[in-house]
Amino acid sequence: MNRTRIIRYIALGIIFVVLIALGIWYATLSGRTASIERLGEARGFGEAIPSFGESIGSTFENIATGISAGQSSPQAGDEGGEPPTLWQASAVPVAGIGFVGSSSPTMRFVEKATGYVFEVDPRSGSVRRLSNTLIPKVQEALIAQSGAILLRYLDDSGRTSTFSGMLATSTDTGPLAGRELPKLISSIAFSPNGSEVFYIVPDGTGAFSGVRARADGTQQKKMISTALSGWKVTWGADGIVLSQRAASGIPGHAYAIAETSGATEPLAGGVPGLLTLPGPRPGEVLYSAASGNTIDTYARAGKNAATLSLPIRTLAEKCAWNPAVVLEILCAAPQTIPPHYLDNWYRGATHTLDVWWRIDAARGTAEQLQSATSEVFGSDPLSGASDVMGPIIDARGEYLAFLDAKDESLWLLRLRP
Amino acid sequence: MRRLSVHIVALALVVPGVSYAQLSLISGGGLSISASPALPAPGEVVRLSAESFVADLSRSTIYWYKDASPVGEGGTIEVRTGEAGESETYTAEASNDEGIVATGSITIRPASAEIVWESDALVPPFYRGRALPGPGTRVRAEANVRFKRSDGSFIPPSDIVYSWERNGKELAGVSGRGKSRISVPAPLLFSTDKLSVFAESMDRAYAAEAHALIPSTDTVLVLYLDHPLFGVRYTQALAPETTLAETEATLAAIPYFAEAARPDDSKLLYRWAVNGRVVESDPEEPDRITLSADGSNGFAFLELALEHATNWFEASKSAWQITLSNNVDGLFSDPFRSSQ
Repeated sequence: MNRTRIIRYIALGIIFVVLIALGIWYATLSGRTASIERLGEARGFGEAIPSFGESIGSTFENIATGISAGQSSPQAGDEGGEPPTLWQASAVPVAGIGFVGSSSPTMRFVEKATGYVFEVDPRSGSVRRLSNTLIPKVQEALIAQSGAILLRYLDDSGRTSTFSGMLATSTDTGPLAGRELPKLISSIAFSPNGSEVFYIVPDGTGAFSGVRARADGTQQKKMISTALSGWKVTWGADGIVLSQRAASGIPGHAYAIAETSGATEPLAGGVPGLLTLPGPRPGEVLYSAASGNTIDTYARAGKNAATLSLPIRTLAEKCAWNPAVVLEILCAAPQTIPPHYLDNWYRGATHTLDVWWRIDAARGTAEQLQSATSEVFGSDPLSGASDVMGPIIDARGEYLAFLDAKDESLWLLRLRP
Repeated sequence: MRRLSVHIVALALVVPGVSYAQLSLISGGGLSISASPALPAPGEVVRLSAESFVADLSRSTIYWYKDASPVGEGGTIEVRTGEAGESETYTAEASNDEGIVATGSITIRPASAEIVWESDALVPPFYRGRALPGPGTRVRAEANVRFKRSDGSFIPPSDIVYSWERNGKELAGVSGRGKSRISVPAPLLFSTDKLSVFAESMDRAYAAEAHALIPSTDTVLVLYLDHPLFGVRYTQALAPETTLAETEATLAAIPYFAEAARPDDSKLLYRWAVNGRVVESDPEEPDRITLSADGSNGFAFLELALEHATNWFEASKSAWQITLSNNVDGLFSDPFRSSQ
C-alpha cells in the first residue's frame, strides 16, 4: 500500500516537474519570438510591400519620410507650390544624378538601394518613379542628357558590373531595358549626346584598354592601351579626357584623347593631387591641386589662355561649369580644410561644410552666392550646409543638383528665379 | 645622365655636323654649344651656352641666330622651345676684330615624357582615389613619351628604346625597345623610390627623360557600416567614437593599400576583439563583424588587428568605440525604426 502511494507521489511529482519545465520553455520561446519579431520590424519586415503599380514605391516611398524628419523636403509626388531655393529631393542614398532634355529642366536620379530611376520636376518639386527594374545596391549611376542610364554595382562574385539601360517610356513606370557591359570596367563616361560610352577595362594580358562603344555596348573599338586601371574618364567638348585618380601630394596627369585616332595629348601634368573638370567649350578646364592640408584651384578659359589661380580653395569635384553662362563655374568650397583632406574625403573619413561660390573663369574672380545662402540659411550660412559631391547644372542654368557626401542625399539649388 | 653624356661625346667626335635632338655638338667651327636642360619639353625655357677650346671667347663677341634671324648675343642666352615636333636650330658665331673665329649650332626637338604609376594594392571597388603602394604590393608604371615627327605623326612606343632606373640603378631586365611599361616592388617602409626612364627613338634623333617619386604607404584600416539595403557605405567611415542608431549592425573593414585583391582575401588575417574579448571571425567574411545590442548596453570597444600570411611588413591595428542604440540620432539612423 505504502509502496503504491509512494509510486503515485513520485509519478505526480514527475508530472508536476514536467509541467513546470514545459511552462518555462513556453515562456522562453514566447519571449524569443517576440524579440525576433521586434528585430524583424526594425529591419522593415513589417512594412507594407511597395506598390509597384504606383509611380512611387520602394525605399524612397517607404523610408524617405523617416529619414528626412525635420528637414524641409517636399513629399514625393506632391504637386504643390514651388519648392524652396534649396531643397532635399531625396533623403535616401542616391547613386547618381543627371539632367535630361534641354527644353525644361528635368532631373533624374537613381536610388542606391534598388536601382530605380526617379524623375524630379525642380519647378514643382514633384518626384515620381520611372522604372521598376530592381538592381540592388547600385554603387554608381550615370545619367546622360538623352536619358540613357548606366548602373554600376557588384555582382554576386564581387566583380564590378555595369548595366546600360534606357527607359521604355518616360511617362509611366516601366522596365529599364538594356544589357550588361563587360565586367570589371573601372571607369566609364557617356559621350556628350549619350549615344556612346568610353570605358577602361582589363584586356586579359595584365594591361587595360580604353574602349569606345555604342551606349548599349555594341560596336566596341579599342582606342588606347594603358598599364593603369586608375583613370577617371570624362567626355566633353575636348573629347575624351583621362585623368589619373588622385592622391594627396602625389603628382597626377590628365590627357585628352583624340576621338578618332586615339592619340593622347597632355592636358595637365605633374600637379599634386590633380583633379580636372573640363568645361562645356573646348580648352576650358578647371583643376585643383591637393597636398596635405593645402588645396589650390585653377581655371583656364581656353587652350591658349593663361591659367588663373582662383581665390577659393576647393576640389574640382565640388564644382560644375554652368553650360548657360560662358566661363561661369559654381563651386562649393569647404569653410576649413581638414588634415589630409583629399584622401580622407575619398575614404569617407572627413566631411566639410561647404559654401557656394560663383566663379568667373575669364577673370579668375569668385563671389559668394549671397542671395541663395541668406535665403536658405538665414544669418548662418553653415546651418544647412552640405558636403557637396558631384554637382551638375542643367542646360539652361536654372538649377544645380548635388549629393551630400555625408549621407548621399540629393539636393537641388535654384540658381535663377 | 651619365649615359647621355657618353652619347654626346661619342657622337660629336664620330659624326660631327649631324644634328641630334637636344644634344650639344661641335659643328665644325670650334664652338661647342650646350643646352640646359639637355632634354627640354615643349614650351620650356632652355639656356644655351657656348664654349670653345680653340678660340679665345673672352676677346670675342658671340652672336646667336635662329634660322638666320638674330636672337641675342653673349656667351649664354635663354630661349623658349616650340611645340612638340618643331625642330629649331640655333647657331652661334664668335667674332672679333679679325672676323668670325668660331661657329657652332644646336638643333632642339622638344619632346615630352612622363611616368604615370599606380599600385596593385587593395582599394574598394569604385574608389575614386589612387591605389598607393602599401607594404608588399607592386607598382605598375608606364612611360608616356611623345616624339612628334615633322609630319605630325608620333613615333610608336614599339620604336622607342626605354632605359629604366630605380634609385639610380639600371633595371636592365625591364629596359629595351618597346618596354614602356614596368612593374616593380613597392618602396620599403618609410622610404621613397625614384623611378627614372630615358627614352630614345631607334635612330637616336629624339630623346627624352622623366622621373617619378614613389613614396611608401602604410595600410590604412577603415571601418564602414555594411547596410542591408545600401551595401557598404563608403562615403561614411566610422569615426573612432561612433553611435549607430541600430540594435544590430554589420561592419566591414577595408585595409586600404594592403597586399590583397579583395578584403576577404585568405592571406589577410583579421583579428577582431569586442570589449577586450577576441571574437572568431566568419571564415567566409573575415573582414566583417556583426555587433548586436541585444542583452547589453549597446557599447562595444572594437579592436581590429590585421596581419598578412606571407608579408611580415603588414601589421595594422585600429580601435573604435561603437555604441548601438535606437534611442539616439546617430550617424546612421535606422529608417524603418524612425518612421514608426
